[in-house]
Amino acid sequence: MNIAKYPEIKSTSKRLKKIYVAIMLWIVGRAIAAAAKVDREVKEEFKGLDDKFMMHLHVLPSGPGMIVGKDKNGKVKYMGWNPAGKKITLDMKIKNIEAAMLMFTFQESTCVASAHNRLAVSGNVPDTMAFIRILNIVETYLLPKVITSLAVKRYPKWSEMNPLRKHLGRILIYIRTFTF
Amino acid sequence: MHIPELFSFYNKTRIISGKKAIENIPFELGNMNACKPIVITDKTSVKNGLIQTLLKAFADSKITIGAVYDDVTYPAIGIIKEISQLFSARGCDSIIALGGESVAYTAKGVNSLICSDMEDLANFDKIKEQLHLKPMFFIASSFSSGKETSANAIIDGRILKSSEFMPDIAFIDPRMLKSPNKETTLFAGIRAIGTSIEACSQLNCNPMIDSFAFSAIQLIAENLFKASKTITCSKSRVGLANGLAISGIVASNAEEGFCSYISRSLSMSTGFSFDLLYCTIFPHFIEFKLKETKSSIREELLLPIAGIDTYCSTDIKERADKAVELLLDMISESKVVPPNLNSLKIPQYKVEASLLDAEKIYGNQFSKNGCQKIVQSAFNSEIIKGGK
Repeated sequence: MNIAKYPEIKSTSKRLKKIYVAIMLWIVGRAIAAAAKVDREVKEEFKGLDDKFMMHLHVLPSGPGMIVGKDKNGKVKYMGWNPAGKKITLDMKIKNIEAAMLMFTFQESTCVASAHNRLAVSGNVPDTMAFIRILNIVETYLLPKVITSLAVKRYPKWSEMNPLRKHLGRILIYIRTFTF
Repeated sequence: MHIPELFSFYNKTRIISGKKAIENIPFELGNMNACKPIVITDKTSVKNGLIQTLLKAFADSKITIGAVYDDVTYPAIGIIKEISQLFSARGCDSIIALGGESVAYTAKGVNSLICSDMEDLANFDKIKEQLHLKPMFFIASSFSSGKETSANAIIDGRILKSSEFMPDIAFIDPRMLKSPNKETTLFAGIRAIGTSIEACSQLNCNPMIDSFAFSAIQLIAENLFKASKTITCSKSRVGLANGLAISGIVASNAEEGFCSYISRSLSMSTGFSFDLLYCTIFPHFIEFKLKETKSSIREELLLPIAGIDTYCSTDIKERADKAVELLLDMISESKVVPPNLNSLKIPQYKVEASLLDAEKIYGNQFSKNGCQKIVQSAFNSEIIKGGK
């Protein structure tokens, strides 16, 4: 049998998609840290989490990813993408880059992606749910209503988030995300 | 619902179905400690571009595919040995089968050969209880017939059966279900409905078989005609592929029915496809069951075939008749099923030889006279308006 007729095939790379997801994760990571200072609800959610809380959201098998957690003083910070040397308490894995693209191009909301089994989580379920709620609030601040409606399970009502809070919060979060 | 005093139901296969389903393969391989799969497929899948789609799904996974063997035409021991050599030479640790039943049977043969010391599969029966197979994934294509998820493998005309043969995961991705062949799809769908009905009407039937068969019949009945068209929504094809995959699991947990037995026996002696013969005999079999046997058709059959509205609005005594009527209409509507075996020019002595074997096994269930009636009807009567 001529084995050379059937060569080994190495996996290729989806560089553009990886770059897109990396940028999205960077923005969302920094925006979460900013929202923890600006928004009352996000602040409360983080208060309920453990002092050593550190969440790693990443795409399998080799990234990109983002790490958000509390520092020694209990402040919420975006801690980059590299988990080396960090004690991760909540590890959220997106199973592949295509699943990440569906999520970050808002074709599937986080809830739908979970229901479609595109995420694997190692850690507490309550912490995961809290993080998903935080993610939903941050997306509501970052994105226009048309897009947010696709990304979250239910867009917040007027009584839950009035326009003044939303627009003021949006400006502050954007400034904090892209400046310091 | 009838519950036997003791029953077992085994299902090794997990189904991952839907948009971008095959992108999960690298993750699932990792979960099974596998990192170098061999892909077994056929030329049709290559021609339809399915291999390219599969290779794209591995992008960024850092997994090396040991080899793509795309020369499977028929599940023969020669091909199985060749692939086994390739598997060992490349240090592969898992198998991905992409295509129809020939590919799946070949993959099952390769898996049992590489996991045993055997040189061929002649002594398979001796080792089938101690099989510890490598991870095997199956990707459904438009040529899949549902037998891929079953516990059977037919290699060189010999039936090998082991529950370990069921693939670990069956992937059903709409992108892999394009370019369906109308006839193949219709035959596979009707045959899968038939085997599911046969499984439910056996004495050892249990609630698990019932529930799996219910889903299989419903999914196939709802999607068969939509999915067999060339231009159609992918949802129907995914629905049908799911139904077929579930019917394979049902068939693995039930004894082979009369209709399947005689179709297989005739298929081996005449060379006609099993699905074609099954679809030809099945209308005669179901008609006989309805009219002649005490344990007739179960009235619940109407629910998956016709839906809740028709089921509720039909009198309980008429449900079985209605179900059979709709089933026969469906087979007629397909316009591909021949009216009888005579129209296929199968000689009567071959039919009688198969009947003699079948009588020994199913004589108690249907009586010798009953078996003869079914086969006689299948040979020269016309219950449905025949197709080609």
